[in-house]
Amino acid sequence: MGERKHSEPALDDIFLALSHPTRRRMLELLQDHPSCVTDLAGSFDLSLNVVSKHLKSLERAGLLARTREGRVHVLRSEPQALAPATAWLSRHLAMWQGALNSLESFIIRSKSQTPPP
Amino acid sequence: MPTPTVSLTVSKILPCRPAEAFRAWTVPELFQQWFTPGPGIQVTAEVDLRKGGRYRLTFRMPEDKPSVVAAGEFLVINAPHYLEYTWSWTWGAEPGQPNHTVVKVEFRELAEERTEVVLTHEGFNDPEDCDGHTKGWTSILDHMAAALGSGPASG
Repeated sequence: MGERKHSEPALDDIFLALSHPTRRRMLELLQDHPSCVTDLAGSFDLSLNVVSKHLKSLERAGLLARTREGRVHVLRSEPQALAPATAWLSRHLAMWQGALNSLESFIIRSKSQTPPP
Repeated sequence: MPTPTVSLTVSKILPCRPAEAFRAWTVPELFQQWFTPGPGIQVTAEVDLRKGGRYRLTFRMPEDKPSVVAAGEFLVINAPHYLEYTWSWTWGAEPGQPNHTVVKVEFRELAEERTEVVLTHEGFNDPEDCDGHTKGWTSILDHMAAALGSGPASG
């Protein structure tokens, strides 16, 4: 539970970026092969405008890097930028698992203290 | 409800009926006795258990660290089988995060006075929905594993 408030917007950006199937597919494609915007757009039945909106969402979250090679923009996925989201998930997973374990102990304890009527 | 897209699930089988588990989850005096997110952390619960009612969990941290608050609103109450509420972390005096998450707790009755508790924490819906349709939800952990290169799909 050590997050600081100012780290939250980045986390929100990451989860929002990942929350759309098209953007997840984009990341998967770019993970295997860095590519230019037009080639990437060719894998989707979407207008360039919509593709560009998805890319901006991924860039805002830091999950995608854009480099210029000559006149072409090359897109690469940046999987290490997922770290805050992975940390959030594992912390919450640990918290809820711990909570259910202690609920179990509590139930067992209260059973042994209160005999059934 | 918008389509949930990011979620984690944990479950546990308890040696009691759903009613008892539901009470332990929703009565503050009971909840406070077992719920803690870590060692040395003490929780105070305020609960207004009705649809639209709010709850507030204050976590007193060890060593005089600032308190942390989790708060939200009950969306669905179906005693003793199901609970659904929003969940936002608040740090110190800061307001809750705008992108709240949702916690769903199911109490499934099993034979021999046992109950399976299934908890799902999900949220972070896509407000843009650029191409107008979201194809169901998928476990984000799978996608992360794939994106991090440890998934079965690509290496």
